[in-house]
Amino acid sequence: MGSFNYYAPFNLSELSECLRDNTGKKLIFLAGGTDLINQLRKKEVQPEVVVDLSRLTGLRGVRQEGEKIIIGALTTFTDIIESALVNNYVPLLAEACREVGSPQIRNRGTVGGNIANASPAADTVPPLIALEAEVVIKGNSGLRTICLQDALAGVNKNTLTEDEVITEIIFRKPGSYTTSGFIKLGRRAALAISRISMAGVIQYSTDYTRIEKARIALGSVGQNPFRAEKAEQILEQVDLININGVTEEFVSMISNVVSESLGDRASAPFKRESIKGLARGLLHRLLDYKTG
Amino acid sequence: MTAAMNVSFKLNGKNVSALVEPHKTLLELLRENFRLTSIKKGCQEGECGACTVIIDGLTANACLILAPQVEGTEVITTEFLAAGGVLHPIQEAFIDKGAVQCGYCTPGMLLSVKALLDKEPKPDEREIKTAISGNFCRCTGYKKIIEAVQVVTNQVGGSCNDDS
Repeated sequence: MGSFNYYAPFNLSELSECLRDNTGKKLIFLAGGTDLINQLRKKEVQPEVVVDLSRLTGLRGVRQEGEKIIIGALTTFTDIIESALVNNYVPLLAEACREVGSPQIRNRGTVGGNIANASPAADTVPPLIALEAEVVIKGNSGLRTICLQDALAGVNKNTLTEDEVITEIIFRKPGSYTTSGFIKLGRRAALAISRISMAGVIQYSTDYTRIEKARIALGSVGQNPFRAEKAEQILEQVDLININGVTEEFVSMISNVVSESLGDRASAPFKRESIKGLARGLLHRLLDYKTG
Repeated sequence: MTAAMNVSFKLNGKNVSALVEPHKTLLELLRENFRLTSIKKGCQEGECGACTVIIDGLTANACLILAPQVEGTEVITTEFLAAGGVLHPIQEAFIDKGAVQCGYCTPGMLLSVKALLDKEPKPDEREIKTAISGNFCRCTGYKKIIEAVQVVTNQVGGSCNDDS
């Protein structure tokens, strides 16, 4: 690992001060470190300054404000798995976090880091996209809130400027008449980087005759996770009584979306077929609204 | 070159401090500065778990942590398990069940088991498997390790209590 200076601010005003003091220097933020330390060791990143965010304890935890659920950027995967709010209202997010790495990784890795690192395989991103999450970003010029997808800009690239950090992730608490799920295919159970993942949130009409809103997000089949809007529309256009008739149409559409996204990548033939099983399995769960 | 920093933390029950360059990992700090060689350098990318330590009650890979990050925390290594020269019941069970072969994964494995049992004294098999899923063992096939955990939680018979 190359050498660098290290700072660990305790609150946001110390962070701002630290950023001001180091203006012009090549700087990188450290959250859980589970990806970053490897990147430092491999010299994929060579900063002059590492700013450790892990002591910003105010940015850790899950809370509810009115109809919104707010997750601090430094909340670890383990925190999310153990959060009553997450398990009650957005169990798909806990499911996704349970699939991350190993206990050691889940104890350190954070949801903010998972987003900022912008891996194609980031496990928390498809569920958060399906939940239509927004991220709050703090920089020298203040706060701004953007849609999660707009924070991602390709493999290991985000749209944050040098002085900006993610502070919170916010989404609307799913109401009644909603089902959700997450499904992932890895090479083995533990420590597997996801080969394909898929998250869905479905909101039914109050009389359960239609799907009012479907949000389906795919991971590891493109530079960053993204929404499969054409597949969502298939589910939204049909009366629930006829939903079985469009299942295969939905599955083929997901496969087409994957195929389009991957182009002639070597993994494309495998992924466009295997996604079908995932799509069928996830849809089956999402349509089982009786068990929620 | 960057200047070394002072890092103070609690290590195996004692308050300690060390001067360390910030680009050193916790793995290097513990092995080189404190000579705690139970922590093994394995894959060095957070996959194998040979460098597992417990920080504030939670397991972590010491290879993925910068030394200054442990400032103010409490770190436990396997040396702590047999503090006072008496083996910890988890260690006894590992020996009795043959859960140790080459031994390279053992210190990390023991800490993952300790962290589990501190939280869940009667884990089921699935919980045991999850708890050790970040610790690779290339000798035992894991079966003996799982049995050892079941022995220590009195869920199956073991020879470790037979003599008493």
